[in-house]
Amino acid sequence: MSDKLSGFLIWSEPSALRSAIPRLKRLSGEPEAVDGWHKYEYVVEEQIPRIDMQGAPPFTHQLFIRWGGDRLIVLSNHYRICDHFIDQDLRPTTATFLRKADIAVHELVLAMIQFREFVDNSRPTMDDAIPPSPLNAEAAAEWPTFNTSHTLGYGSARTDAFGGGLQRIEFEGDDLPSVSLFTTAIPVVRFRNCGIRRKTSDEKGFPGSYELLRLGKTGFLSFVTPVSGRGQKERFKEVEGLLRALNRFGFIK
Amino acid sequence: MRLKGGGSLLVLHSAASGAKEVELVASLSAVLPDWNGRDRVSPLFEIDTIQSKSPFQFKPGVAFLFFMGPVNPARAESCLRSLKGKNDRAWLSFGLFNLVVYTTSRVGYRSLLGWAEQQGVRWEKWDLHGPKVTADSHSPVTSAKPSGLLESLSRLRFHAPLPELRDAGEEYCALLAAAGCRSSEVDSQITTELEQANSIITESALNHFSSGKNGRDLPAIALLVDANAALSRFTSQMFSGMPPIQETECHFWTHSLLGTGVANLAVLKVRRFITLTLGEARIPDQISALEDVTDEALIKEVLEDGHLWNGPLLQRLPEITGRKPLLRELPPLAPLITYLSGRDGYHTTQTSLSAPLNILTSCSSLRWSLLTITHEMSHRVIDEVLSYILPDPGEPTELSKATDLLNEGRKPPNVLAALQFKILHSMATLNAAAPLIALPDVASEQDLIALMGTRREEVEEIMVHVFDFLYFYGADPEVYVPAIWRSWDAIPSLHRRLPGYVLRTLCAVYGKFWLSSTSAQDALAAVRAGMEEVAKTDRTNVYIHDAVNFLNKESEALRKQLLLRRTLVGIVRTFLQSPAIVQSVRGQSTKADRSRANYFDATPIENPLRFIESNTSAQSNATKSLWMLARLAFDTSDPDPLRVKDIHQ
Repeated sequence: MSDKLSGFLIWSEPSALRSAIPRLKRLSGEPEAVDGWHKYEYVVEEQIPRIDMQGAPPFTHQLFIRWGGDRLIVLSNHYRICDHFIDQDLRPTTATFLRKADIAVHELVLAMIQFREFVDNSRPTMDDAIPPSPLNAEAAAEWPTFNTSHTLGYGSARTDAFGGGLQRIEFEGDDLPSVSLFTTAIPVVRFRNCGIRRKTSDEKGFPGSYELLRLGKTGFLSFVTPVSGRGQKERFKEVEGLLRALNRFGFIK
Repeated sequence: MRLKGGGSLLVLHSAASGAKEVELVASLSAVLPDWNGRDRVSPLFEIDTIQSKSPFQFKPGVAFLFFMGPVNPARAESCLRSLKGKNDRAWLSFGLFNLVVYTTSRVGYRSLLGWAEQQGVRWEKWDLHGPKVTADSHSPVTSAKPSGLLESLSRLRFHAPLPELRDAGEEYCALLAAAGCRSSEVDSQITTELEQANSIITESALNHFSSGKNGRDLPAIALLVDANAALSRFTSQMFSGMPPIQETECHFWTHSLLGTGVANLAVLKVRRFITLTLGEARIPDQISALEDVTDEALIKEVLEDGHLWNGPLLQRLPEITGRKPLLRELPPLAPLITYLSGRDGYHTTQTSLSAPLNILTSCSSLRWSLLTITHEMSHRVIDEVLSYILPDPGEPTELSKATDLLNEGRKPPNVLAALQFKILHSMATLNAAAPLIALPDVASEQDLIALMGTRREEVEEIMVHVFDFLYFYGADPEVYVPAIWRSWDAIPSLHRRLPGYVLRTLCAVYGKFWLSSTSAQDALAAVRAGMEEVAKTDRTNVYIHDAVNFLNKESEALRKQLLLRRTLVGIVRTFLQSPAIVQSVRGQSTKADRSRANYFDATPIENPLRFIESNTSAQSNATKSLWMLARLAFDTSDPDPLRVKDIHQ
């Protein structure tokens, strides 16, 4: 059993969000803070476009919100609920700018592929070759470790190379950088969404992986949480850790 | 942060006594009756704040007027909290000091200074008493200097018999030294580009000069004079309005106070994007590599319009040439010097790229769209491609071989020569249909010079249109046809040239329908649909109705004319097109940029060309134009230079 959460990573001015959120009248219920995450009930009279709700209004949706400094993460069972909350409630209350994070998805995919190619092409004579860096070269030391424990499992890309004849391509698998069909497509696409898989090994030591997080160019986040409270808490921590790493590597702007 | 909408003019009145006074007016006509030669002016656009609901006036007593920049308006959000008094205001300007703030309180003034220093933003402050300027001060001027550039300019000598060359050379050195010094205070990347431009311009000028041939110093003079014209305007427009503002006058007179640095920066960013994507693809160099392709079967395919013409060939070039790196040593590309000009409009030369002054008020409209830059940049590519394919009229050996080729006295020895034959043959066919010269069955070298002299311009123009359509408009006639016909409305006296412009449109769009069994009819239908769309929605368009009538009345004649130019379309579509390069130029990961007009939130612009396409419409709006220019100037990040496997590696 699991739940899927999706929403957005948002930037604003430091401290602007901390004061704005308590003023939002349609957020009800005692905020329950677990490791910095607040669970709210978002009560609305209107039907949120393209979200099916049973019964008569008011409609109640769950929101998970985490803020700190100039960053805000808003999650719910559907990203449209978050979009509605941001545009209808949060933006009008925030006197300052509020924008969805720009996640350099294409650059992230490219950097992970380049790192894999470097590893695959490494020969004993090339031991002193410098591995490729992420966008922020200052965090290059952590980049090999990141690539050892993560891989790409999903990629959705747009292409403008063929004058409209082909417009979108989607790839899904356990380890996309190892697939030549995927890597040879790179010059004619730009990735919009990608999925990062965490590498694991089972109790017998066989390698495996699970999808930890999907990211979109316009700050979109989506992940699956286990139903158990402990499992959920762990997954939130893992996702936050991944986002922090991507921020250090320069992929979140 | 959001612009309120609607602009006003900040006027600095300077009396003969030296007394200075500021005034904010709705239009120039309000102040012209009392104008004097020292007065200066610049437009300002108000930022939406709590105070901006009431009309503005300079408050009697002490106040402060701040000029700050260059700063991304989205970053300026936090400084607006310093505005407390009911008369306090903030505006955006076109100058590099693009944030202008008026405050009546000393607390507000200290807070603004603190913000500027914390953010590393340069500033100038005018102390006011009512509208009178009582004192001014500014942030410290950096001591940074482009020592390498200055050193290299000091070594430059043109020991020429012609005084014109010496004069042009000295002017060039003084101008570039000023531009380099001023840019080093603002943006080191601009200084680096000026250094690159200098080494390419001086090398080219010295090559002309030292070649020892008669008359070769004339091209050197022309090159330097051209560079001087661009540098002079670039420096005046970009760096005026910087401290001390009152002493740096911009020669674009409606912007004489603060200059147009933001617009210049926007054009520079667009140019830089195209250079790093399309430019770095080095299409002309790739085409020159066709000289090494001597496979007889391929040459035959080219000559006889075989299957090879069915798809883009450029990306197959490494395979065709045996997968060796095509471009081993790549000299840096010349960074074109960008400037605004009312006279030159959109125009490129070997050293410069200009955009019309009208973009300042109207770049949000298709009539003055910044996308026209792509047409000019396409000229740079096609001009260089043709210089590789066609013989140099000044080189007798090349001319003799080309004449033999045209007379079918010899077979093309390689694919490049086959393309030369196809283009020369097209020129001869066009001449046969509408003779401009008497071309005998067996042409002489002089005939060939005359043929190229009368047809090269048309050939280049058609190829540029096809190239622009395929690379920058995604081969989409619904976007392309209305865009170019709206922009052509700004060209004076187009009436007598309308048939040529209709034909160019058809040639470009024909590139999309190349493989269709009814390609000419399809192109005619797509062009007609696009032009009728303009005629229906743009009632003030001077030419479109005549153009549509011409297209409808002369469609059969146009179809024949189009087919005479088919080979030229095919050369661009087949030999100059590569999906990977199209992707680098036009690709973006989101479908359309949904930026909210007049809002600044620092969202990076992934592809400036697609940003312009998404935000340009039939309507002209000055506030939106400033917003577009500021977004392009501050939110466009440079792409990684294009590196195509098997070409660059």
